[in-house]
Amino acid sequence: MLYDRFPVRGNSFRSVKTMPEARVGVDAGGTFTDVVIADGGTAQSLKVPTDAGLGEGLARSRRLVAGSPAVVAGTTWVTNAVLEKKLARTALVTTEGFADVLEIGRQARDDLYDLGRSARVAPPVPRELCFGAAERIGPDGTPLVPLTSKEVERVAAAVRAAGVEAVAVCLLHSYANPEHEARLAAALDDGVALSVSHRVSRERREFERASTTALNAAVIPLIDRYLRAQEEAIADSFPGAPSFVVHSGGGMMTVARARLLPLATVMSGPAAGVAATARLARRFGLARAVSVDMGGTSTDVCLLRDGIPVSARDRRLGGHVVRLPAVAVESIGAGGGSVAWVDDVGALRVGPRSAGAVPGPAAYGRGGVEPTVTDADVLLGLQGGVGGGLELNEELAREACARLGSRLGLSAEEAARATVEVAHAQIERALRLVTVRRGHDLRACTLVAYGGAGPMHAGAVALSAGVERVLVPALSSTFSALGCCLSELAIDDVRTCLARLDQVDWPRVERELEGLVGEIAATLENDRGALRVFRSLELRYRDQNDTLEVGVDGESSPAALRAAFAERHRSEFGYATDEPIEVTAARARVWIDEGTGWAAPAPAPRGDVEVGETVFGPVLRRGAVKLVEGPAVLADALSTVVVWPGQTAHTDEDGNVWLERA
Amino acid sequence: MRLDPAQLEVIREATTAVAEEMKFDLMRTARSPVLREAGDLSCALTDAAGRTVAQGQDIPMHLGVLSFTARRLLETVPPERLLPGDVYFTNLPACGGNHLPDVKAIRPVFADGSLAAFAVALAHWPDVGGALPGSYVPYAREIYQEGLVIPPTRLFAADGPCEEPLRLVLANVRGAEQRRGDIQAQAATTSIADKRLQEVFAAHGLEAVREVWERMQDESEQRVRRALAGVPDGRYEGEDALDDDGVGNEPVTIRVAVMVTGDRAVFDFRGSDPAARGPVNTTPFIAAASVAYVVRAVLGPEIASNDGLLRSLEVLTEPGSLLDPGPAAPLVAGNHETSQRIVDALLRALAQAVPERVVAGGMGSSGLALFSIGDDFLYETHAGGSGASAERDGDAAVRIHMSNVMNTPTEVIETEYPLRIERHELRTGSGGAGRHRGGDGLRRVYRVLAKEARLTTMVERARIAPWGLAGGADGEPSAVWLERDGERKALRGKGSIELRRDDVVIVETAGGGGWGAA
Repeated sequence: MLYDRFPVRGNSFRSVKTMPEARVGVDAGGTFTDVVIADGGTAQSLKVPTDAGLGEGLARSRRLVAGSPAVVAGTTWVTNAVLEKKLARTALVTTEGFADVLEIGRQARDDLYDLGRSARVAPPVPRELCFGAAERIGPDGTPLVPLTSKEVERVAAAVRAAGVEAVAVCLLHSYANPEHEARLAAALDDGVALSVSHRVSRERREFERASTTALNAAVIPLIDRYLRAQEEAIADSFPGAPSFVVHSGGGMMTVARARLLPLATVMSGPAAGVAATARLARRFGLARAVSVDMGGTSTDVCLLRDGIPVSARDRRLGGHVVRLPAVAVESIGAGGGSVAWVDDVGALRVGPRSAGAVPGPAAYGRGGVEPTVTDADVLLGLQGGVGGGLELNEELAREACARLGSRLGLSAEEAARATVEVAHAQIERALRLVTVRRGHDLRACTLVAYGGAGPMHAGAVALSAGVERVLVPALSSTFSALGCCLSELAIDDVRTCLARLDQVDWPRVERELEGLVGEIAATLENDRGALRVFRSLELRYRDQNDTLEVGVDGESSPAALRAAFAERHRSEFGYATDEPIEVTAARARVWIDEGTGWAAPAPAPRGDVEVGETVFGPVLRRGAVKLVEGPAVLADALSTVVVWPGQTAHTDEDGNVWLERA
Repeated sequence: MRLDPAQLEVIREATTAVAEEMKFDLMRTARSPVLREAGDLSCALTDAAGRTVAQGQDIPMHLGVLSFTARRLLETVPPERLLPGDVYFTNLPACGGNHLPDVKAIRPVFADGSLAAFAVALAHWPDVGGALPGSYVPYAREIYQEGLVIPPTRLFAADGPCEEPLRLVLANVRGAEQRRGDIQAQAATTSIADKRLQEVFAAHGLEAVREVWERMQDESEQRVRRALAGVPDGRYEGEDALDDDGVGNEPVTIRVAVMVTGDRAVFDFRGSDPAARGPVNTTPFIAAASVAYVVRAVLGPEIASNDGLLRSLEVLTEPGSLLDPGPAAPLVAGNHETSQRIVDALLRALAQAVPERVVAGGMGSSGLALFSIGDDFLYETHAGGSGASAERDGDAAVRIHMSNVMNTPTEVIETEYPLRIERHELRTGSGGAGRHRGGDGLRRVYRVLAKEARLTTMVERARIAPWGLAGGADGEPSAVWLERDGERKALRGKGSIELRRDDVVIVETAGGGGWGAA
């Protein structure tokens, strides 16, 4: 059955004809590019080396899809551009007297003790390209100093003379009244990439808004090159196919929107996997799920409540503050390629350094000699095979682990076991970070494990953390690409809206929310499906730092919100008080429900169940196993699932593997 | 019992995670802007003896101080009187203290019925009573003018708040409602840490956890010893001075002799000036905190902050001096002004031993401007330039060394206080010239929109500029200005005045010193 057992929160906005169509999802990683083709409720996947390019993956998927599909891609293009400091020459226009907003930032340094490094990363806009405009809006939106036409002209001329590719505009209090920003933007809009703060991040706190807006401007010219290449590759294999990009909030956006807001793609890859997890969580009615995506260099985890990913803001990317709605993924430097090493006082460490794709783990036989988690996996017999035609060399893995063991007084096998245990501890810490710290009991969560290494290790982490259940989805090794296929066209937006809840002009708040929804709906230019809306307010006790998001529907009233907030606060922080509550922001997520259901792989061909044996236990063919007790290794062409002693595994009709405490 | 390498790392991970999470718990729930926006707080875990095991990436000054707090608590309250669920609060300088606004919440954590650890959460309260709102009294001559002194006092027990002492505290501070919220947040933070530690004990066994905690401390000690062994043996002297003590106009000098012998070092501050009349005095704990900071910054940024870091470092101070002034001395500014000057004196001494690793002088001051308007306080620090080094230029507008408190955004100030920020910009050219330039200071301009307000400042480096190194020029000194009725007047760096509507206050912070002849 291809419908969600858990109804999606939100109410239908208006109904439009639906256009179900095949989807091709593409997730480009460091070593492999994963492609999933979802068509009529079934899915197929393939992996191609990333070196071969997007075109190769699409060409190979051409044979697997009938008709013209939509192509949805996760991209790390913008992320990499920022990390590699490949930014366009960009100008920033701010309120006069505040042109140094990026230089001053929040005035803190990133590292407390290292005198050898710069206090902060260099801003995306150099100081000589920051311009002040004589104008002033007050905190309530009242213009205090008018922006004259002459001043607009002067600033526009100065920016033009600077010869930049991109311009960011961020004026004080523009979240309360964007008129001055809009006028400046109109005058600056002549052939350069333009990013305006009230359209990028309409929230209070000028540095975070300016940083986000400026960085967004600085990557607009770059994403253009990527998007053009993507469109060409798509046109070669699927002429006329519409294409989309996955954004940090775990939905997809049109290419046109990605051109205006490229910074919204910085969590594209992880968000796609989380989006697929959300679909699974709703399908199986998992009230609390945590995605565990363990790849080559890192493990990404994210909590989902009632099938909705927890969201976060104020992320750091390459030292820059990025304040855009995003799934709250925590990333730790423990992946399959993470190097195990002994530090200066003789303690065993794992990561954060990774052997990368080249040379990769020793077992890859590409010249790597340092022991990695993957080498430890091979030695312990956890590896059933690896996708993409890579052979694993056990001898090389053993040599690498033996070298590590000799420094610790351990055998190669003992060193491998210790390496894996340390990696598990790091993953457990990340899991606690996203659950326990938010007031959720980790033990009551279901782990949803995917990525190449996730299904090998999640079972052991679950046993040690007291987690009852792990779900390893079908297509676990290409799950993020599946997430691309399942993404909904969605936009999340937030705007500052300050009021005391007990004195609030409720119709005004509702108007604010409706305005936000209307703006998003207009941006979506929907002609694809039913529009759905989830509205919420950010609330806090007066003077508190953090806010909690509380949903708003037609029934909501200040009294109901107060009760809902108290309940959330008690759950997250352990107490609630009768202090005044403040509204700080209005949020909305608007998405298009195209009726895209779940996509399960076609049943596997029949064959032997047992296909081999390792020192860990029997190796079984993943698709053929109904129920098995650990230790066992379930493997297919692309993925390996490890069932640990004390655990059972069963496979459901869609090919998902459930690990449970025996 | 022999720990296997995996167990060591697993327990280390778990312990560090608890210490780091505390800060977020506290920041998320605290009420005062100085905590929630500026993050002026720190947290630590100690073992049963009160020795710190793990601390978050917080404020260096606090971290040094927290190394002593729980140990001193045990000297006042014997362990047999501590009960599960207790939370003691203290700001007593003698109890591993620094200054009265930094109030520590200390919870004993029990396992199997015996004391196993302490969870400590330090928060800067925007007011602890005293002669002026905000508890910064530049002209204070005694600690009693600086606010309520809280010797270790149990404010929470297993069955909830201890209302009587809590009322006593709240009756003596301004903004009682907000303070109650902060106190509750501090207690809740230690309670969450307690819960997490119980899980760690249950998962790994108390014995193994204790052993790992010992090992963590030993590792830091080993790393310090190894780093010291790389410093040439010898005696290195350094000094630097504060502009004044807030009461008079004479500089106040800190002198240190660093004696390195093999893998040990002695830091002798006994040549420093006698106790000051005004609030720039400080405690031996701050001297030790400053030493710990400099050792990490100059010798090994990777050394974990715990009790082991201090074991091979001997810190000597003279009773009756600036750094050990006795129980009645005022010391509110010593925490963030004098501590920075101690760092300067230490860096100047170490510049003779390891010149390539030392940076020139910078804005070694909180640059504090405290506006009190009605019942509201805005406690705002101002960063300046950092000093240049042999390797690179200094940084502009950055908090250095012992502090890392953030600013409050202009948009937050303007929505929450009757103030308008007219400018917030770099002071171009204020960094000292040199082969590598010092970083620039900044300028922030405040206009008062309320009928009346009070401004208290603690701005150092206004007379004695940040020093250049190896022939580099000094940075520009700091300044505070008042513009009233079209006239501009220089204010004292440490002072307190009444303001009225349309007054304009300009805070200019010092640039960093340059390195090498230009």
